[in-house]
Amino acid sequence: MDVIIRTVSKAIFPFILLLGVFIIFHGHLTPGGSFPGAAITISGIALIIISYSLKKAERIINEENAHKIEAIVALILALIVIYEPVFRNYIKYGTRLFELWSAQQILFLNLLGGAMAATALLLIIFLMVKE
Amino acid sequence: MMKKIAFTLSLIVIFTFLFSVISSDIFASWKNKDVARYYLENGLKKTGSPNIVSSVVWDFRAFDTLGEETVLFTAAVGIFTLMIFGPKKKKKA
Amino acid sequence: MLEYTVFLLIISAFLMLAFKKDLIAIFSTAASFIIICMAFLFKNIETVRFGGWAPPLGIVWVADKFGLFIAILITGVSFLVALYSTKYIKEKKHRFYALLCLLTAGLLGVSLTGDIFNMYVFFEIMSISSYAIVSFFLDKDAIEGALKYLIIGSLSSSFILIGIALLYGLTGTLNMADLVIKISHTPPYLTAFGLILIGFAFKSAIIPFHAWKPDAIQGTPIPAGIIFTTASVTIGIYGITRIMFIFNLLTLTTAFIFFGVVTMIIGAILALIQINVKRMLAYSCISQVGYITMAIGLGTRSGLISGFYHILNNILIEALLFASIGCVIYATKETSLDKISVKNNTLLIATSIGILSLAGVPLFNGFVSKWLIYTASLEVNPSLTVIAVVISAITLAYGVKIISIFFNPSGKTIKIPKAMLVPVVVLAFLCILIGIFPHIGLSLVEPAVNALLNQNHYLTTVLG
Repeated sequence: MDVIIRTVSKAIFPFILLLGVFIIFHGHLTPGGSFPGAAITISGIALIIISYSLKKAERIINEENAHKIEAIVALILALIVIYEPVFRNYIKYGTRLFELWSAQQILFLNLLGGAMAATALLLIIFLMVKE
Repeated sequence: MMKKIAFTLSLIVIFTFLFSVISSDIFASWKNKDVARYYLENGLKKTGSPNIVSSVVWDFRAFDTLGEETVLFTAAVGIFTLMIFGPKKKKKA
Repeated sequence: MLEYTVFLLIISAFLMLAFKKDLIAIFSTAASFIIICMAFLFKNIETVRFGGWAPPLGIVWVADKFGLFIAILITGVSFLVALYSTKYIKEKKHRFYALLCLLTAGLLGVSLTGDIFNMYVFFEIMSISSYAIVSFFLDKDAIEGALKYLIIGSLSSSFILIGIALLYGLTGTLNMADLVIKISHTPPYLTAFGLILIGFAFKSAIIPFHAWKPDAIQGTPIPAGIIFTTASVTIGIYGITRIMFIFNLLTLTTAFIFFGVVTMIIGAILALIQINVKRMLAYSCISQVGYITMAIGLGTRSGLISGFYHILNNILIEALLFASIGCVIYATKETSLDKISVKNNTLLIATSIGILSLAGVPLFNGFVSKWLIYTASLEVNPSLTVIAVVISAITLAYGVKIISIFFNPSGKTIKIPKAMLVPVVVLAFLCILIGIFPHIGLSLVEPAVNALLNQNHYLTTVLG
């Protein structure tokens, strides 16, 4: 596409990723959580796919790696939700409010859920572009 | 053409009726909302996160969120089952 | 202990895609079947609290005998399907097994849960994996059936969601036991009841909502066809019965009897004129669902027993018929009735057992449940019995069309692999066994009906 669009998207892409990861990480403090954060992260990659080509986006994250990440993250997420009272008793940080390490297991669950939603959306977008 | 108009009109009528039934002062009072009041008052104390939505989604009702993640995973697997076009073939028109 | 079945199935779906071995899926379906059988035999009613939160706040799974009865049938069928499809599906096998594990996990979750939104989530898992399975062979029939099923199924799932949202807005709780206490029979509540009923009726293919079923069954692979006509239909009827249990309306007679009779008649008549054998079996399943709906809608205790017994028999008979016809299709790759002609003694005996049970001939299991339906409907209205007997005769008529493929003199002898014959033989043996000793089936069905009618025990166990 055009030179202006390419340059601007290349410049703004890290900030979109940063915003998305911030929303995932601070899901227990600010409104957000895993699903909106994953959507914002993947929209950054969609920007790269539109302005450049699919190959350049594939250099950022490969499709087979996405499959493997999805399977592993799904396993860990299922295990944590099964044994949730155990995790809640072991990951106590005390009752510090409004800090990053405050809610007991919600931090890890947000990270895992965000990773899973992001890889699922990434695979869907890759398949739609490959047509 | 007539079929499309009839179908769209019937969908509009059905969903307008349903929405008017739902929003007719059902969601407007605290009369029956014991569970919601418990979440709002004790959510911070029991889970330690000021974001009540996150505490409901990931702590009180974490199993439903696992179910939703499974739905996302199933949708991705389902799309892969439908992948007809390989990376090297190009279908003509 | 019971939540480990669903977790095992979901995890094995993930593992199937990573490691591509068939044994994972067969092991997990067998393990779930064994766990649920043990739970049915040894415990009366069991609750599992997720995350340690008490019932109105958190999610609770309540496994009473009714849910466990349905879960035994579902895991048994899915274990047989996992064995059957080791040979039937030849390529992309790991994806089929992953989708099958997810489908079974969704079915089990619906039948074991005690929270109405959790039921919707697992219903969605089941629906989405079945949309994916229908389009597995990517030919024209499969994609057309999958598209019809997808559009109609998504609309029906949204009906269920709107009904659940309406119930939450009116009562403020999402727990089934809590809902029993807070429900009254004023019009907003009955609107929610009707909406949820319509959503589940789509899934079990009762007559105004059956339009997707023949095209979908025509396009699916045969193992998935077994699951759709047995397990999905059972979960549709389970959802209808459970929502009637919540609303205390287990005596809703007229509408259900009407829908049941119309489904029976139209299903049987449309099955007479089909040429494609898969579509004929799909219409026969629709007709049997009409029997079940009419029996449950009678409202008496004997009506409920006969309806649940017919659910059990429907699963055995339809699975047997689909499996044996599937062996024929596997060997000859033809599906239209005027082109198949084979000779195989085992398949002939198995299919004739299936057809005779379907029509309700004595000595087979179909006779037991149909006799119970006849006697139950005789008390309410004798014309229902007449209609049921006439439809049984029409069932025998189209059944003879299916058997006639084995009696063609120009048929060629076919060989079937052992992994596909084992489910056929097991199901045929079970049909004869339950036909000669009906107490075996009754010992499964009666605790389920007692648990359904005994609402106070349910409430005191869940809410304490």
